[in-house]
Amino acid sequence: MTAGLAVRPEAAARRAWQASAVLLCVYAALVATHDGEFWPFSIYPMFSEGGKPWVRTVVYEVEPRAIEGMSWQPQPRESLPGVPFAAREHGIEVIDLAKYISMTQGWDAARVEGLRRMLGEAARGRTLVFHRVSGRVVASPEGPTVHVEYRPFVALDDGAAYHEGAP
Amino acid sequence: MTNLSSAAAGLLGGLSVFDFTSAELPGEARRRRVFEALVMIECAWANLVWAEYIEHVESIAHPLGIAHHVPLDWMLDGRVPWLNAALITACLALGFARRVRWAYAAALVLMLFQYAARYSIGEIPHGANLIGMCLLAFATAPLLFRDRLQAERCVMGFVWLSISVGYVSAACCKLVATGPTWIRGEYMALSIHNKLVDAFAKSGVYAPSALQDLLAEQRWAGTLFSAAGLAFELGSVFVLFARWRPFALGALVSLHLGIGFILEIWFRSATLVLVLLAVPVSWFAWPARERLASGTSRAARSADLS
Repeated sequence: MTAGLAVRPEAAARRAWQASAVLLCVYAALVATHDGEFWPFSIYPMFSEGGKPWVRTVVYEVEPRAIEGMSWQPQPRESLPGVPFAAREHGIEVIDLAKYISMTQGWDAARVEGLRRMLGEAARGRTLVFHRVSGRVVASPEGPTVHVEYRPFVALDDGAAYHEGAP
Repeated sequence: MTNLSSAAAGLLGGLSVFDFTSAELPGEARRRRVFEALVMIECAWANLVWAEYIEHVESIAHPLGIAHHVPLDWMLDGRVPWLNAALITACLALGFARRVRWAYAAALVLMLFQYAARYSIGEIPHGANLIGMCLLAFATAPLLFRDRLQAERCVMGFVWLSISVGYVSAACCKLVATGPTWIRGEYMALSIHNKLVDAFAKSGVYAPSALQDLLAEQRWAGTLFSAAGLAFELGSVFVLFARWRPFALGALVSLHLGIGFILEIWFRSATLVLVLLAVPVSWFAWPARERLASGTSRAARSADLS
């Protein structure tokens, strides 16, 4: 970029608009062929589906013996047993954890091992219960309201994994 | 009909994206340079943060962007993302120092790999998209213009277009996916509960703020905030008009602050960029000598007009 090499303003504007048209075409082509995302291009679809149900994971640390006879039914957050496990303190990304849990159909050895790897050292010596938290808008006599449900999904200690229906 | 067409012509006549004619205002060059520095620092920082996270990535589970076309397993070797971050930082520094015309373009290409390696595990955030678009502008303009001032003016034109296209696209996605009912208060409440659960999972503390409580409980308040957010996104088209630009940018800043306080999603780099571009250029006319010159020229202009 050297001074004295300026083009006429009209030619400069024409050149800039032509380049913009090319960039916008590249933008459109890339997002159209990559599900709306090709960094730095995006159609910015976040939050676009109003009222879309969501699923997350919340982890509680419980006493080892609390797993025996544990209820696998949905419970209010206020009455969940144990103490909340702060994932961030252990360097665990909760979104990644929630995705892993929600995409798991059955807890075979490989999935349990994957979960242990994701938790790393944080799982050692602890008994953890993973609650699947789901939120959705439901119809009610007062009109649409938000319903959030906490349901125990899997529990883990140093020795084994426990889930509903497992011995 | 004539009035309508003349109004439309007047509106389009005010379109001001690529300005290669007007004289430099005091502080304008400094504002562009500060803006460039901000974008480059944010890009360098993002790459370091991504490099740190890539160390924990086991595999490319959900390919994103360039990962659709290039296998990126080699990026998951602990040293490669750090080496890439160092190369990107060097390219950004060379570009900023005006040493190599294509340095920013090289940094952008390297960032495609860093971003894809970081985010090909499921989550797709958008916090770094605006700075990425700004980097694209800084990478493209020097390849189009050899004259420094024209290249810098071209960068700003690309940035106005990027902001406008991005936010209007976000609004259109909402209107296409949900329709005008997107603004319903219970949808806002559902999103707030989602973010509260996310925060709870991270910190182990469930503590909604007063604003979150209000919006989760009062549907009219949620509807009002959602409608304002959608209007601000659609209003970003006014970034293309010099006269309305500060207001449109200010609205986008308030949109991001709202998202931050309500949904606890802070788009730091995008907000900083928007704030920097929204403040009057005269604030950058420093030291006072330049302010004085600005005041003198304004006074002279007023005298000419009278």
